[in-house]
Amino acid sequence: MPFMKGPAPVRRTLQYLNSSRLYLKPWVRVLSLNYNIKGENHAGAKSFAFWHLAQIQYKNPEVQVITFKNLTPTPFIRAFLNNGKEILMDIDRQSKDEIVDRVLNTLCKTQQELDADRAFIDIQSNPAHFGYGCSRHCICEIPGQVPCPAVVPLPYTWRGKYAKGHAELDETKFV
Amino acid sequence: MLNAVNASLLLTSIRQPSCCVQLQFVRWRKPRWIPQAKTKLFKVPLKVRPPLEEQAERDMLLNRYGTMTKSLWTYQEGLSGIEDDHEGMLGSAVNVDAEIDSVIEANEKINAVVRARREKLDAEKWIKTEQEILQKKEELELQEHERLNLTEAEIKRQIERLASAIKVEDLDEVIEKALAQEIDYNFAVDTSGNIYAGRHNTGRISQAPKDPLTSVEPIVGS
Repeated sequence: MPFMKGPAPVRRTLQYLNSSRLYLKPWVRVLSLNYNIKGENHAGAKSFAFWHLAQIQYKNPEVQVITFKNLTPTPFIRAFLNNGKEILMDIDRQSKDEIVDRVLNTLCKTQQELDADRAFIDIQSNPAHFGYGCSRHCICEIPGQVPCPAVVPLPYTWRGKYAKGHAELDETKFV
Repeated sequence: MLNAVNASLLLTSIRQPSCCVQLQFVRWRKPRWIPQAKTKLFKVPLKVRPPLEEQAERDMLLNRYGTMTKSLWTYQEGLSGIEDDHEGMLGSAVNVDAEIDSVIEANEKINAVVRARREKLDAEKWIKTEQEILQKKEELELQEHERLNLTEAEIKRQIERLASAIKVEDLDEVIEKALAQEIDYNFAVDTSGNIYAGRHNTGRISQAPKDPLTSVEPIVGS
């Protein structure tokens, strides 16, 4: 579709798609929205589909997002979960913003979860980090760095126990 | 026969493109349905075996490769377990079912509120619709009542008119009476309604012409 054609082409801009916080929980697999194109009790659901469905699909590419139009007397959102259960949200006569808040509070990740995910991704993607979940467990894996003392003990001059005279040197054992 | 087949295959396989540049992207190979060449039929390929030391070295390398691969796989599985633990620390894997149940429960509460509001609004809407229907029904009844009154008045008027109508049994008498009263229409009328009879009038002169809108015509009925 051409960029500036159709109603509200701002919906297709990356800035708009990225501006939402609608990251669904990992256990949501399918999100379906039933609404009619006419009727004042469907106005909020219709507006939600118009403005926010693209954002949800953009933020959750692994989730199937489908709409069913003109098949129901009252609008509702149904989420199918990966454990076989489903969540049915009655959105009759609710406005677009009310629906967004409800989806955020019910099906989306919290701000703490998002921050944790972002931190985890940052750790994984940054090659300078080492430790849990990183590309390397220890800095000693880098050539030229000091090896781990468990593998190659540090010189006696670097170890306070011997440098300050708290223990006797055993030159037959360690360097 | 075989030579002909080979020749045709060769020709088709080395077909030159229209641009006359010799480009062949697929290496020609003996097709599968052509049997082994007769010259190669009884040829036993010599199996080259490496020297014992070489073989021992290869076995050692292969064993080392297998050991390292196995250890790497074990290490990777351990890492995966650590990542799972990390996800568990994030709270997205351990208590998923409990979280889902709590979300469903909270959602049911909101659904109950929405349902109550819908039922209330539907009831109000139904009461309003019922009132509108009743009001319209009353208006229609009023209109019907007015229409009946008008019809009744018209019927009464027609009945009153029928009272002065000529009946069938009186028809001959009325005709004779009308024939007996000769009316002479040979006269003049001025703008003020005055009648001027002629000099040769014989019968009774008609009265001034009646207004056709206000006059009631006689009805002939039984």
